[in-house]
Amino acid sequence: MGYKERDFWRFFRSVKLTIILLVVMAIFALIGTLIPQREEAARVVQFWNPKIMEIFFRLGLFDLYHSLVFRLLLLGLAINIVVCSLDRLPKSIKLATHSLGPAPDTVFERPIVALRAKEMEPKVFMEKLKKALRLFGGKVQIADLGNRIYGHSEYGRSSYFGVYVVHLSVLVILIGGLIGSIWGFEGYVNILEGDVIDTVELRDGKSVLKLGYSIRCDEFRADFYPNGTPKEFRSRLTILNDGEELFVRDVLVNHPMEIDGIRFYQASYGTILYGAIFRFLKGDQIIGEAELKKEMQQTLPNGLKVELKDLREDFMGRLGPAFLLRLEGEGLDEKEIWVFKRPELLKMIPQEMKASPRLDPSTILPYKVELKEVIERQYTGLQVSKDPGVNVVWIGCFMMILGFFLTFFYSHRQLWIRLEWDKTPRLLVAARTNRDHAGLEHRVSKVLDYIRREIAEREEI
Amino acid sequence: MITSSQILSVITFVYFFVFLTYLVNQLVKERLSYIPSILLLLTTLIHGIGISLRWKESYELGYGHAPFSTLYESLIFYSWAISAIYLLLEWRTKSTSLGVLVTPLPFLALAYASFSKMNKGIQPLIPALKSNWLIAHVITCFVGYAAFAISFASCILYLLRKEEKNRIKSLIPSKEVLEEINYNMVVIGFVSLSLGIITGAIWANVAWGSYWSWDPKETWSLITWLVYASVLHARLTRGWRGRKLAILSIIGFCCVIFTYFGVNLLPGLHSYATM
Repeated sequence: MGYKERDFWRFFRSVKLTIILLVVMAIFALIGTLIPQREEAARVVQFWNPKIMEIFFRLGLFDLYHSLVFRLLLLGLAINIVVCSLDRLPKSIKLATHSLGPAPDTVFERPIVALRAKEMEPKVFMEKLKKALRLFGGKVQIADLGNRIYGHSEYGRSSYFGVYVVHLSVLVILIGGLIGSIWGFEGYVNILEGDVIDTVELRDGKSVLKLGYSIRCDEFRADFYPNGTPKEFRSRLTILNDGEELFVRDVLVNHPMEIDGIRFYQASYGTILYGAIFRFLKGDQIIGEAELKKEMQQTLPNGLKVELKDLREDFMGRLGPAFLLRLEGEGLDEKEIWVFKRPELLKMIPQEMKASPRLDPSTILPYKVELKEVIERQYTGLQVSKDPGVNVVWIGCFMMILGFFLTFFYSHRQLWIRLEWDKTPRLLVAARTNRDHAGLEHRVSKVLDYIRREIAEREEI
Repeated sequence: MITSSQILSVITFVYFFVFLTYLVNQLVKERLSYIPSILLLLTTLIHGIGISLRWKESYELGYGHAPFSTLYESLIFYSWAISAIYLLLEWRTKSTSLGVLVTPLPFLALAYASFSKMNKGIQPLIPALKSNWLIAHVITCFVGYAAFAISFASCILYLLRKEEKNRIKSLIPSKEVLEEINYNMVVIGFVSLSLGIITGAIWANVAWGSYWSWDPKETWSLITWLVYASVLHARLTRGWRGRKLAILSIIGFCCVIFTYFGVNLLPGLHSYATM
């Protein structure tokens, strides 16, 4: 390994670096919750000083979690994890494969207890020894060397690798996230009740996804509890291929629909202004009614031609729904006039605007227009997303939990029992663990209870 | 017939009384023996009955859901989880001195739940919360928060323990034991929080269209996770044990508190937790 490689290795194998990276990422994430991000930023920044906004934008502060700096931090953490793991793995393999052999006398230099054993048949003793070892709960081995019998029970060698499983799981989750950000997408589509769509506008605002099939919204229903809290939002969708109905699905919050890896979520709903029914008068005489949607024309019985040229959900942001009608008929040149759902609000508009002929009903005299009924249509808002990395993320999550179990709640525990005959049969018990000594003691005490009851006669010092 | 709200408001004061018995026990050099622990056990059991009763009552109202859907209900469960985990710890360590610092936590959480203006009634579930993941997500998150609360108490005690001569502190467990308690609680909290974040991600993938959307509560749970991950790593580094580790754990608990309450000040998808 060259000089530079060694430096690289030394830098990235440090646990101090891990701590620094984790804390810096935490601070980074914290800043991201204080500054509005993405859509939230787009909504809020119009109230900001443009110069500050410019600086923030240049620094990427409005999209911190997708910024280069954050990605470099993640990359740094990934390298740190890989290097640390490779650096320490050989030692763990050594520990996990190391064996003291069938008859290790070193472990009995400091036994937990020394006991005088009862006199009994060797066969009976063997049975009881096995039972004691099984009580410890591991792989049982017995070595009979004539004057000495060794019993050994052990489990949990895999606990040395828990920490690698956890660290690998972090990498797997990051890879899953990366796959999602490269090959995944998110989009949004509103479907009016009764309408059919076959494309979805994607979140990046530039591209449009062609679905290859079409979706019709048959019905959207919002149900509420008696106190007004929302209870259920449900869209009934029919999937069509070349006009042929394939199947019908109900999409609810928490119950998305999935087609070829693309999921449709119930995300919002609302109504749009669709048209209106107008009543037309000449003088005080009603000459007819017309139900119009945008850009629709109709000719009334007396020859008056009416067309709905435009409509606004909320005229000037405060005057409510408004409709622009074009009229042409006997005794009236072509004229355009705005018709309001709530004409009383017109008082609020500035004087100079009132002079506008399109707001002045007297310009269309002798005709008059009344708004009889506003026609609204309900739409369902579906979020559309595809994330091919999601299953990789779940695998990572599962590995993380498995790794936690191996790291924190599992340990390599060994129990040895030695029976020797000097003048009297003597029993020595020893145990070891790589972590959680309290847990080992608890486990061993169960075995000792059995030994004292069944095998031992009395304590020996 | 006793209602859950009656039980839960009475239990608030009982926790304060239990706290007093722990305090007295320390002042009289633990001559009360396990009396405070037995009182805490009974209180926790009745508290648990209160929660179960609220669950049952929601069925009688026709809503039928686990009592984990509002801020009030989460506080009730949080305080229960703190005392339940603390009892387990007491049983394992056979030491009651941490109780003086732990028992005020469920008392404060319940007092806040009872006396603030938040909605205490049983609410019907809004569509976003109608999921089988609700129970798993809330329980894992709050068990994690509860373990972190006990870690916080042990760290405070660790920092207070500096002056050895003080009479009250003579019964406090040794610094090594406090470090051990802190480590165990951080481990339990960390694993639970991880499970909480994972169940949350699975749920979000079904409800919000993405397993991770940088919602402030998500982000803050990640911040908390990162801080406690650094606590676990700092323990392996020389020069980082002891005082520094205790301070880092306390910062971790501040993040927990902000994840729980502070995030409500920021806009986001988790808004139902503020009601």
